[in-house]
Amino acid sequence: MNKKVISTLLAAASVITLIGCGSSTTAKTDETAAENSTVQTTEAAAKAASSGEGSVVTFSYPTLVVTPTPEGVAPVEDALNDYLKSIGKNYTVDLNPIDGNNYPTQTDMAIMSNENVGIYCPLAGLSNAVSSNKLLPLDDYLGAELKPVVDLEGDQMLRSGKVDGITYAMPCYKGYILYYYWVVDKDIFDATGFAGNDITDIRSLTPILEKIHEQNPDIAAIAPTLGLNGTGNNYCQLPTMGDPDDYKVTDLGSFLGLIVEGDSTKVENMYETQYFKEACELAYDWNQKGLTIKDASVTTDTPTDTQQAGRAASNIIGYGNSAESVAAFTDNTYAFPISKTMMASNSLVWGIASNCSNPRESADFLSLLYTDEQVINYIIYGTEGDDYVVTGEENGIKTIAYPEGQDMNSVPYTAQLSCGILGNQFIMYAIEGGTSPADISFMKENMDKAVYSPVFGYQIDVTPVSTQASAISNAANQYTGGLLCGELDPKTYIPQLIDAVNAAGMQDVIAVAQDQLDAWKTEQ
Amino acid sequence: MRQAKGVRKGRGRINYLPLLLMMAPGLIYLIINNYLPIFGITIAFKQLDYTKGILGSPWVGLKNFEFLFKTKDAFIMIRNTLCYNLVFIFVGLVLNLAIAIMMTEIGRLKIAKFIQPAICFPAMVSIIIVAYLVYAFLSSDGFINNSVLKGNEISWYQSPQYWPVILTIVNFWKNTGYGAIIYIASIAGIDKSLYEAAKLDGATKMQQIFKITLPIIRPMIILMLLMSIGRIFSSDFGLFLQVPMDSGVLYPVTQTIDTYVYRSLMVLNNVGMSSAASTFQSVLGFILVLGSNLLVRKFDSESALF
Repeated sequence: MNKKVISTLLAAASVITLIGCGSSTTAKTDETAAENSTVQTTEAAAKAASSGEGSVVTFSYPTLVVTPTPEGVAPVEDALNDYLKSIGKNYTVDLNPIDGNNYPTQTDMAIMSNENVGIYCPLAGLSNAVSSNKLLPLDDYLGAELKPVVDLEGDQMLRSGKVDGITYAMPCYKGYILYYYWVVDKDIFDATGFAGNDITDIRSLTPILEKIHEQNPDIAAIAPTLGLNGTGNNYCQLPTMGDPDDYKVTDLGSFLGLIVEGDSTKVENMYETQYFKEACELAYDWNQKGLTIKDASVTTDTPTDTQQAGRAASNIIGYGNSAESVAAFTDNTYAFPISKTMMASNSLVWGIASNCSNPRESADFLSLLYTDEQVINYIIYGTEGDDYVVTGEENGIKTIAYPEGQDMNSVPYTAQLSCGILGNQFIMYAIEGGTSPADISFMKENMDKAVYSPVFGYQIDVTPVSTQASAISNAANQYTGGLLCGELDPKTYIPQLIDAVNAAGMQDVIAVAQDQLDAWKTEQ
Repeated sequence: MRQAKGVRKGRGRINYLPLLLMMAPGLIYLIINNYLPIFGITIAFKQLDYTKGILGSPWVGLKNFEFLFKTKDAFIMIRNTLCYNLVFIFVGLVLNLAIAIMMTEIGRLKIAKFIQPAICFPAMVSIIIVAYLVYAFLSSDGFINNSVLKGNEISWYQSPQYWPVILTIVNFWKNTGYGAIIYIASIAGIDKSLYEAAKLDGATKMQQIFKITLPIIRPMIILMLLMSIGRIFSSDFGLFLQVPMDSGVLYPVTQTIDTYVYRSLMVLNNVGMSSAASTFQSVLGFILVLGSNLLVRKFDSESALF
């Protein structure tokens, strides 16, 4: 009898727990929904559609370092929507900031599960996004909603957003031209007796670095730059030697070692070229002379940190900013330009997800990101007073700062570090400690005078050869870090690298890339 | 008699209900968390098209698996994965048991209260921190080159020949203490009177270990072995990617299936290919578990898992 009572009680208890679990899960789901603005958007969109209000445009954008909370986003969204209403727009916008590290995965997954992503940036590559159908073609809107963007960026720039002659995305409009600077400690450089005009390109650094090494034997003369995506650390030889006055090289992307050189459109295996050989030999020479830090190929300290910590005298770094600004970024340094890049295709393009229910309104808002100063500054800096204060105006550009006692991490809303990712950088306010108004003019001027790569707008699509591509990137990663840091002898290891990539199917990939490139050329 | 039986049967049935109800939350969790996602295996055989979704995407057969085998790295990565795992499993077993036995032996001493948690501590340290600890030892200006090898330094991160040993040491340093816990628990459950009886009969410490302790915990040992064999095609990603600092020169001895997949797909971002890789690992692991269980059942049916 007793047992029966107990078991009934237990059963009852477990049922109650189940119900309890159930309700707490629902409560939790509600919270998650509130946090997850994509879900919220879908609901909001459904609500709007049913009640006949204007439609809701979703804007999903990556934020770096700090991602605003939903509480931080809400007032900005309200202010932005009030503004949109005041300029006569019949839609509202749902802002969906996503942490940049998760952005590519999260947007992909959201599109796959048919959630509303709206306007987004296919960071993993435009051709990949198009071949797996993640983007809507925008050709229908080019003449109307997106016309202001077309006028602003010009046909040439827009090639970055095209695949097979169809426009899928609008390139971010910003200072793309990078200068590579040799940033060196002032006192150390002054002691060498060299002058600024002795520095013409990366090769001209060798005698100066030797002198620095002679005078400061305890520290390295130069620190390496960290490689992205396991491509290996390096001294920026590839971009600096690839500049239009040097080898004039365009990297076709995807870390495959495919390039075109000069004005030719012949796809080459970079590892077989004189360009790559010289880049490796320069580093090997530096390494043999003891100019570099030890274990350069495996270090994970940023070059600036290494320099600030007094372990190296200099480093090479790419910036869109002017030499004066770059020198001012770190204490007591000079910045000497050693090369300037040309315009090459890039993956910072903004399109509309293929499952978007209101593409016309979305295209209209996309266009505002490039043309409306108010809109873009709401998104980058939030609302005036709460998130920033205006401090003045310079060269016709408003200068702002964080409110007294606040910074990037403490204001309710900021997407300051996304300024180089979305919209039109030249109509953004200049924030104290960020890009200065003078720099913005400097970048604009560089853009106007930019040298375009002969294959500007072409992007490789590796889908047909993805097996080979994966094998090539693995084979190359094994050598590139060691070679570009000068730790491996180019005489022995470049031939090994060439054998390895050829065995991995380099010829197939080159053939596919050449076919794509030829087809692209006929279209132009 | 007959009536009584019937009643017992009926009551038996009713009595299961509360038990089943109690099981329900766990079962539902298992189904949602562990069984429903298995459907995702289909992605490995598809060319994913985002507008058509997972079900609507076209089938491509085994094309996604090609990248794992169509390269000359395939042999290296499969060899590395299997060989490291075999060493980790079998040497690890001996080390775990040795530590477990030693720990129970010193259990009465005060110092045991310090040693027991201390040997588990490395398992709690993040692999990223472990990587930098190793770096502090092995970098060109590191501890080893500055003290032990002063005068004839070795640039460790450029010398593949040492890394099989280094990685094995790091792995055991990190995991052995933690791996011993489960054996310590099993040994603690052994009836103390068995040892007392053995001592009275004049059994030595070694005899007690080999005749009493090990035979009694054998089912646990076999269970743990079968579980680790199931993961033999997977590798500790942090150990093989972070600890060697992703140094290219070391790939011939540090490349495992997981690191290869990571390095290939970081660039390609191909969901189909990454699911193909993990499907390959799990299916082979599953076959191996079934196979080794079959062997165990043949020789010692009582210790088999199922």
